[in-house]
Amino acid sequence: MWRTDRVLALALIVVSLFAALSNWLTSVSPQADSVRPSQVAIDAPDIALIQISGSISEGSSGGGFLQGGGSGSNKILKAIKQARDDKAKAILLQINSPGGTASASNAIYRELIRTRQNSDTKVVALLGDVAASGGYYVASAADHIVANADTLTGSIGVIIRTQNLSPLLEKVGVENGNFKSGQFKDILSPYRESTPGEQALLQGLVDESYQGFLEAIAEGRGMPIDAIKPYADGRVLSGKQALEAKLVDSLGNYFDAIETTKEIAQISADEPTIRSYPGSRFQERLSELLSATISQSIPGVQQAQQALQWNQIPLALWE
Amino acid sequence: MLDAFYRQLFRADETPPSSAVAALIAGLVVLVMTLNAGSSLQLPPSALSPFLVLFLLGGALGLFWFAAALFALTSLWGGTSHFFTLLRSTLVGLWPLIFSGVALSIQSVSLALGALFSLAVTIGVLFTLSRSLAVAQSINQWLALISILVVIALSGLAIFGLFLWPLMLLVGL
Repeated sequence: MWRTDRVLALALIVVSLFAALSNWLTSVSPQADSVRPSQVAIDAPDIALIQISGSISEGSSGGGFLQGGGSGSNKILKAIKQARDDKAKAILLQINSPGGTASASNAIYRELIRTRQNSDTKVVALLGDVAASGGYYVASAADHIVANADTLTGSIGVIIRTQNLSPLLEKVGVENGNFKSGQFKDILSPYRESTPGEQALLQGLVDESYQGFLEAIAEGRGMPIDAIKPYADGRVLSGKQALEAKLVDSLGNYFDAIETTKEIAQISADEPTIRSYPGSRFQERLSELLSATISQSIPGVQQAQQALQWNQIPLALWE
Repeated sequence: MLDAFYRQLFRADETPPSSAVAALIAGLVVLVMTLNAGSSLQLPPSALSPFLVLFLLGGALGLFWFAAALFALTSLWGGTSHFFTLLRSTLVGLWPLIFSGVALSIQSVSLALGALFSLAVTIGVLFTLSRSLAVAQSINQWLALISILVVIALSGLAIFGLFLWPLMLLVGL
């Protein structure tokens, strides 16, 4: 039974820990990040800063309590819509992503294009260390792309990974079988070689998605598909090479991107108001803390989680 | 555990400090202090764990020397306990520090109220520390309080000397 003294002792511990934790979580909230911290915008910010980091996938957040970093498309979509509704003069996308799923990248791309077409909000993308494949897909929806000279970008293409473990299983005497309702129900099974019918089906999916990817870049960048195709064989480009290929518009860092954004969105303030979107919630900060603690305590756990996650997603814009 | 924690907090005179409760209080104090530091320095999640390790090390070292100084001084006043009993008592006496996070929270609402709460926490620490020291060493609580203040003052002087000596050597040689 719970006695009063035990409850009181537990309450003291919980209250003291909760207070300390919430102090810290509040202090590191991205909403505090601003060029002018004393003048955090109450109404429309000049620039809405949206970060896309890690693999892009469906979901409200890229990382749960036990998942590493990543960008959930729902969270990003919400951030874009919120910035548009707040009538931010510009959205600055900070992209540091090796890619993601085709559907999640496409969803973010479409929302950015909608923002460009249906509002006065300008979109500028700043490419970080890596903005490849799905990361570039998203960036191509921007009015202007700024990259670092050494940014790794490009990797335009679609991939479906397959595995055939049957020779190994044969060696150890394991036989696999299944009962299926249709000939393609166990497509991508790692326990047998894929059939010509399956290969044709999967290649069709890849080709369709690839064509969509090319058309999206062409639409976003205002370039003919033929001009993109020479660089769309999956190759990785440096920022400098991407500039020469007209896949990015300028080279620079964060502050250059701010200047470019000011210019494009016609922001006259010397120090524009920058607000991070979406606003951070207590649970998200707590999740980040746990993720960081776990990844520091158990080396390689993030990579293992990502590998597990990506094994379940067949159509990927990520290599 | 919760029973022992409660008794240690509110009926310390009747209860000798147990190692488990001392460890619990030490853990809580270090965790709260780390989060407070994280709040003041706006540390990202990735930097918090190294800070926790640093605070654990710093706390252990600081506590050892603080308890050693208290042990030496209170032994002069006729203290009778073993060093490790005094070490546990010192740890347990620091329990009001777990409310420093609450003080910071209040400070964000009202600076004056927060400062008042911080003062209350400081007085609380001095009271509980002197009480547990007095119980452990079987000395008067006022004598225990004077010992704590003397040790703090001596520590301050030692730190001052630590800075002054290199300066003396630098200028004098």
